[in-house]
Amino acid sequence: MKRLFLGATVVALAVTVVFALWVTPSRPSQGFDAVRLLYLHVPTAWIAYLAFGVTALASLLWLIPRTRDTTWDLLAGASAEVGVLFTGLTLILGSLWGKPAWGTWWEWDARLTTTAILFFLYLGYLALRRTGATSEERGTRSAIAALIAFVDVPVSYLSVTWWQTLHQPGTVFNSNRHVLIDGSMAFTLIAAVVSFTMLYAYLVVERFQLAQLEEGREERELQRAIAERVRADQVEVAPV
Amino acid sequence: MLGVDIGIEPRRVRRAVALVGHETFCYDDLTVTENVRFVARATGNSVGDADAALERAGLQRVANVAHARLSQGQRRRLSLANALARKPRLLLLDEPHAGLDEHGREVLESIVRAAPDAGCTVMIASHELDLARGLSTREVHVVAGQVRPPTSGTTGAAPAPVAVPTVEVEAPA
Amino acid sequence: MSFVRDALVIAGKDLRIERRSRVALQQIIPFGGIVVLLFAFALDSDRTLLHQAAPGLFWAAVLLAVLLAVGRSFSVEEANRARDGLRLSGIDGGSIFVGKAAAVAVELFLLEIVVGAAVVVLYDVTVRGIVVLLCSAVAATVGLAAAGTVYGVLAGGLRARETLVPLLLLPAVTPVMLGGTRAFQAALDGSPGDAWPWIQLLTAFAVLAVAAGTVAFGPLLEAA
Repeated sequence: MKRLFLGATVVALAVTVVFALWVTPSRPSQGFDAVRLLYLHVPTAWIAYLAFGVTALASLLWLIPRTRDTTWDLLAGASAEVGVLFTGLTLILGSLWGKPAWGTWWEWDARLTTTAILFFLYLGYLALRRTGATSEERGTRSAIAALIAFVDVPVSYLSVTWWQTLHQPGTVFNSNRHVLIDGSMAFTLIAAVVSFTMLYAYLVVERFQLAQLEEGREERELQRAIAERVRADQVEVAPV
Repeated sequence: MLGVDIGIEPRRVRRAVALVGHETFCYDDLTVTENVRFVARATGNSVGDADAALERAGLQRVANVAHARLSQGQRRRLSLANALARKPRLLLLDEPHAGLDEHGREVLESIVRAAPDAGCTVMIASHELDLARGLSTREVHVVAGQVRPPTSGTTGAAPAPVAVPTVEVEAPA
Repeated sequence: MSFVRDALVIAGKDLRIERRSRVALQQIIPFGGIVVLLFAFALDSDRTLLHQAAPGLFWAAVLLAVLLAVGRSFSVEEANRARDGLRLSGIDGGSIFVGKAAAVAVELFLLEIVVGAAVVVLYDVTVRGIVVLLCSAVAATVGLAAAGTVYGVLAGGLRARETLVPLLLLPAVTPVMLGGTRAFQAALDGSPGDAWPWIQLLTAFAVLAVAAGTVAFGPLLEAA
């Protein structure tokens, strides 16, 4: 089942790449057809937001006592890892686009800055998660850290409308929520979003299952240690 | 527990319970007096309660010594003073005889014996069976997580007039 | 109100520890001064550059010092299992939060006065717009102390606490860095009116940080 999904993901990605690199119209800028990067850069940003949104939701579910479950803690962690990956990708792709377009690898405008901060916020979150071996130990701390960090997601997304900045305002949706592009470009963008979302889902599920195995092993080792202790006690006890 | 639902109001329960364990829960930079007074204020009691507790624990001579410079025995008595300053309804003592000299053990004994009159129940977890028995009226054995009835002939011999139950843990250390 | 009284007991305890140990006075405040010096070396003692960058450098020095102040606030809770003692005291988590954050804020104010003096003297700055400077400093300091206390307790008890808190706190307080720098800039440039949007940002951050801490401190203190 998973393999089927992986196959579908690869196909979707392949379609996206083909369309991005060949089918869509060309718009060379300073000798480099940088617009093609946008088909990748925009979706990676959206997927990053999605990933951190999932982390925030899972963190909330962990914090509410009635719904507290190891599943949410592991899901939060897995999604954040993929989210950090996509945020990094977004920054790199943006940088590659920016050099020919703006003449520089980096600019200190609101969108870029808040995205860089987002990257570090979740890097810290991942570091925090590593300090606890089981969900019990790290669950509450990382859940709260994730919720605080998530504040930067809407800030980063809205930063281009709040401030007049270098980064372009919404390319797909302007502030009136009207779609701005169409034709093969729209199709490529949609294909990219779909295929990246599939990739995200696949990666999160893989990471989640791996985390479940790790957690299970921690539990088993703990149980084994307890069992050995009890056995030793029963052997040594002498009647008074 | 103690008439309060522990699931709903854990804080009220915590205020009414005092734990004397291996660590003192104190601040190294503060003096004995300052530490005990902090505990008293933190649990809604007065500075007078703190000073009285300090006296009962016999710590007047080191009242202005920083916690970091106290000896093990003095720290033990500081733990007792902290417990008293909270005016608890349940006093939990974990291995209270460890680290106490003769004088300290007298202090411990007087505190435990006086507790019921102040409306306080005392529970002692100890490996020093003889010493603990001397202070208690009821005895429970816990072996490898299981509660067992005490072996006969022990509680009858204890000359303790105080109505405090004792929990004696016999699992090997 | 018991909430306020408990918070005062906690704040009093922390400040008393400071008075006894003098860590903030003898270590953290001098650290702020050293950072001011470091920046001068970094900018090659270029007076014009230092003068222009003074607001930002001031807040950068304060932000770094906050890391030490928060670290100290929670390291005193590590010894003798004092942290567990706080949990067993039955005091509401929100009260402990307000008390500890208030103590950190007091230390920060003192630090800012000293670092500010150092910046004025060493970077050749003329002080203008005192009202704006004070308002923005108050809002910024409250926000820093609150946010720092949240992350301090979040990482409390963990072995990697000393390296985790800086990594977690600094990205989270970038609004303070931004707002503080811009507000100070407006004041020193002689156009204090421009500072008010930034003071609003600082105040909003402070309110959010205090609210978050009051709610989250209790559960975080209980966590492991």
